[in-house]
Amino acid sequence: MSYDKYHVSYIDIFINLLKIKYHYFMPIKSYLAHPHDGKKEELIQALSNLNHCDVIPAENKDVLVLITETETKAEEDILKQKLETISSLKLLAMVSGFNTPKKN
Amino acid sequence: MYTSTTNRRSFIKKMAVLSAMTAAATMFPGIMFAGEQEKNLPKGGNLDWKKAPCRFCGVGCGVLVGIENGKAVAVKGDPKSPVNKGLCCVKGYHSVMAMYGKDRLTKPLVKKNGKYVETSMKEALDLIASKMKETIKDHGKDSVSIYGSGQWTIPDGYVASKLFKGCIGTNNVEANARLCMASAVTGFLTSFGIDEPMGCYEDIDHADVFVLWGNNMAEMHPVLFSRLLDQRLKRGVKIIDFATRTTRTSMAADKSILFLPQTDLAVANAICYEIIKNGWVNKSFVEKHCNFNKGLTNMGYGLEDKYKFKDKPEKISFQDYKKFLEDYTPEKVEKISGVSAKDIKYMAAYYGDPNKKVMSLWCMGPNQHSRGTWMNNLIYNIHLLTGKISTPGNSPFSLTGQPSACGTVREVGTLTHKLPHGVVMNKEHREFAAKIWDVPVENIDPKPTYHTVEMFRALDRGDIRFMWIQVTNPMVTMPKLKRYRDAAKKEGRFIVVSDVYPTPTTDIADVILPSAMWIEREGMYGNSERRTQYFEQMIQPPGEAMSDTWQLIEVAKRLGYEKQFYYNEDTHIEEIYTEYRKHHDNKKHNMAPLEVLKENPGMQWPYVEGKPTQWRFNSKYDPACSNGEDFHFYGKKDGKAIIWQRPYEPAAEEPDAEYPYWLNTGRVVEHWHTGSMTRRIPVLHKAMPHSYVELNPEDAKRMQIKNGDKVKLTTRRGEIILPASVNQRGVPAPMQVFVPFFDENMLINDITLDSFCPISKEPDYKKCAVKVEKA
Ligand code: SF4
Repeated sequence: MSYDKYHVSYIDIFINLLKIKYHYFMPIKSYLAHPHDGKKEELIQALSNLNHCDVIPAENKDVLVLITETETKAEEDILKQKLETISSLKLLAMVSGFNTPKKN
Repeated sequence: MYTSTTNRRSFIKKMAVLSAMTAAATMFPGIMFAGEQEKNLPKGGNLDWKKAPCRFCGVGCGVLVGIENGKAVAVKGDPKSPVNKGLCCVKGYHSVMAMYGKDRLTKPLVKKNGKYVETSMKEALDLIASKMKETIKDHGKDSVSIYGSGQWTIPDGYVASKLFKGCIGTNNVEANARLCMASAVTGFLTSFGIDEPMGCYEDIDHADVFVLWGNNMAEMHPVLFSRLLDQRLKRGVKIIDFATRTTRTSMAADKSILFLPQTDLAVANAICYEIIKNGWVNKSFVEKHCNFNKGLTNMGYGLEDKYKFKDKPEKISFQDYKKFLEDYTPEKVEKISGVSAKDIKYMAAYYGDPNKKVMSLWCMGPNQHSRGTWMNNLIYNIHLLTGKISTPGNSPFSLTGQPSACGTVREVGTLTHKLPHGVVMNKEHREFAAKIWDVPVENIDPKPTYHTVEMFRALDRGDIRFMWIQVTNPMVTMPKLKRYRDAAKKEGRFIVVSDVYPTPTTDIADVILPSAMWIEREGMYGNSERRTQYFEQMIQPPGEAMSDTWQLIEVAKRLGYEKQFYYNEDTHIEEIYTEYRKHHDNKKHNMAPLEVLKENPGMQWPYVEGKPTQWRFNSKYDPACSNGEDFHFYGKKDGKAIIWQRPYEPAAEEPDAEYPYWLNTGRVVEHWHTGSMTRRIPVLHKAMPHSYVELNPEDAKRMQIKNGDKVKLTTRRGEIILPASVNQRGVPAPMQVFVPFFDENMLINDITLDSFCPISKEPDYKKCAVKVEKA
């Protein structure tokens, strides 16, 4: 009746714990974005320049909360591709994904 | 209620932000997103940040509350607070919203012909005083009672105790901390002769291994838990979750070990067996600082009215104790507990390793236990045998649930047997209290009356006729609730309830008094680590709402106790605190003066010569140590702590053919206890809108129950239908179910059992037998 949990990433845990499934469209996703060493400001700038992105930098740690809000799945895929090209971004870990009804 | 998609979308966006911040907070303890908090604030206002302890749990985080135009509009963690270093959990961040629910009670209500009628505060207080006088005249002083809370501020509890014990002369004073902390108190008293942890939160920064005994810290003490995770990132510490159910804590721990309910008693003894067998006993520590005792066994479970039990401690030798432990070899205990002998040895090896500092943490698991005092004793045994106690990082640490369970209930002593200093049974203690209270010593009755469960039973029987309930919701929290709800509704009972929102408890009231909440008044709380924290009044309470302290003072004056309740309305909190400090004016418990509390993010007692004491009983840190040794357990006359021989005994009601499952109850991170405040905070309510029953996935599959299906739970007390939760937040072990108690629309306590620990009288909310069916 016991098990070891040495290899579980916290992000995996929190994705599972916080994921809420709505069967709608309009994805809203939140991520933790980790910059490369010394590149926090650069990353804030790069993410803030993208459409559909809100960035909330932590004041005292090297991590940012990124919220993406897109209209369609296709739009979301394009955004994802753009995110992948940002050189100051070390790791993007999804925390929660919400699909919501479209805006009126 | 109509919600536009735009609103819904913005709500969901906030949820997404919140989720990410919560995850970040768990990974990066102390993380701050001040930019985001300030972004949501009204622009251009005169925002004034003032410090307070959080309103909610016993961690006692320091928060800064943003006030604008007389309204509390924002909260952020106080970076100067050594408790949380700027961090808050979801409840803390949303705490100010709890004051602005639409149905806030703002006017006193009196029940007339079955209907609540608004009245003035003056009339309501007159009525309460005259009812108390009449009840005392007709039925005697022990027919009136007060039932308070670990959410009472220190001044609330102090004036309640002074009025009832000192002036009226009844020991009918109890508080809901009996339901959560009483076993911790009796554990401390029996092992050390003095209450409250010897260590402090700073132990977390020194320990190498953390053993969590039945404690879902990730949800119940989230900020402290993130401090543990932070230490793992920095120093690679080990976290062992020892529990009956897999929770968020288990998932984040390095190792999760599951045990069968009630068998933690056997496992703790097996750990001690291993420690002795492997020669890991710290002999010089044990010889110098410990005695061995045994007490009575087969004590029963308090199920019958007027149940009485008094332990008879008897000295034994180390050899006797060693012999007793032979029944608890890991191999034998594996059979009882379901914990492999390997895992028992694994835990014992950490405790036994002289190079590892170990912190044990626990809260409701060992406390809400029909052998709760024993469980507390057994965890102390492990630390005493190895000498891992009262030094930085070596710390058996009993956590509290409520913001002032320690500060108000345990330190002020709002339990039937207690006085602010000492107990009613002790003549010197009565004399000491009577002098400070300015009452004749004969007023203080030397006999305790009713503990909480018995107090409600006395209400049912008619021995108690008047009950004043403040800051607590017993009509959701009492076990075997139906009996006590029916009792409160009986003819000839008069119930006063002081609260901030309507609850199932205000439903049984004859008079409802609107209370000022948290920063709408001035006060202090005392948290789990002996830290007393002050908060000023920052905003006006709504309507006629009044602090619980002042409600009690007004009634006391109407009862003729003007001399004792001399306090001035503008300065009464300061006057009360200054008077209260006199009760603890000694090196073992001195409280910091008010000016010190005002200037600091709280201060730990004993506060001696301008300094707090972080580690008690250790002469390096604690000025009360006076035996010339490294350690002095001065709570006991001979200065020695006690290692107790306590066996494993089964729970009051265990699964059988008719009721084959275990029922366990508890809390969730989003809601504060019965949810009367947090369910009025939209983001928290929507995140966790109703209760549920967690099932083991294999059990669910066998019964063809899917997530969300209706499930009927039946116990010998009644039945309830709840939606199923399968493979969601928590996963119970096979043949066990778990139900949170925050939902007043799904009252799980209607079917729980009112068995309790015979020594502490704390009910066991974690164990009774239940039948589970698809509804
Ligand atoms: S952990 Fe407790 S004290 Fe700290 S913010 Fe959360 S509810 Fe408040």
